[in-house]
Amino acid sequence: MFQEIIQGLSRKLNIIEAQAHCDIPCKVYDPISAQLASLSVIRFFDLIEELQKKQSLSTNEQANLIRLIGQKEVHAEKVKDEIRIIWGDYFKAPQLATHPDTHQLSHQIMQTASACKQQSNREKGEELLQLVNNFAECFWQTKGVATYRAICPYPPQEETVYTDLKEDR
Amino acid sequence: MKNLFGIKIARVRGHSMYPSFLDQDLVVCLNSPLLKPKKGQAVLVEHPVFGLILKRIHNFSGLNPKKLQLVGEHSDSSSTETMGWIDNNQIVGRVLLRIRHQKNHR
Repeated sequence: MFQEIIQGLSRKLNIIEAQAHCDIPCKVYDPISAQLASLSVIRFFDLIEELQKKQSLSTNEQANLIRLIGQKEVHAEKVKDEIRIIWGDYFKAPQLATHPDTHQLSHQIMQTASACKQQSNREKGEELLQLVNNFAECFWQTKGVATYRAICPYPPQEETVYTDLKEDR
Repeated sequence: MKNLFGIKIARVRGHSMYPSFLDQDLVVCLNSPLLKPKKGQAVLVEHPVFGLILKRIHNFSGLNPKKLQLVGEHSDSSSTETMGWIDNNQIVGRVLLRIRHQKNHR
């Protein structure tokens, strides 16, 4: 009775809507984009280092150096974006219960990626890749997908986590 | 939404606040400067991107207690990060009463 009165009244009150909306649960998440961006950051460190060894730079080389520094920052930011999306949208209570270190790991990635933007230090790039690899392993564990580590078959030829989709699950 | 002496009534659309609030439920909300927002409270918020939304207060900024984050109850809700930091004055009402829609009674 109370329900009917309220609902009937509500029709006369011109009530507008409060959205309890949802993200589209597309479920398409993969840390490989972050891993590739991390590898790119290391590659840019190497290319910058090659230019730094020269006594002097031509105009073209100076322009190239500026591009490399800019792209290093773009890719470090891409790492942050990709990890943030997976951490913020995919990881929920069940995944965090089994992988409680995810918050700390994600935060370390944010900090290290920022350090890669600020500095020209290859070791920071290696550290970033290692953290992103750890994140990738953590992510695939939550989905029950096996992984392995191998040297990527292109520069900078660093150890990278890959999914082993042929393994019986 | 009707504002009756600080009382607002809104109809819930969507499922992000399941199981507390279901699609088509009505919520009666009070907006008063005397009421301090508290963690866990269900609130109506005028969001700059999503419009008028119903969420719960997730936490407050350690630096600025007037800044807060929101959270949905269902796993498919927009994430806290997506909704971003909310200013206290974007809260347009605190839920006092929920009225289930007939279709949600089992």
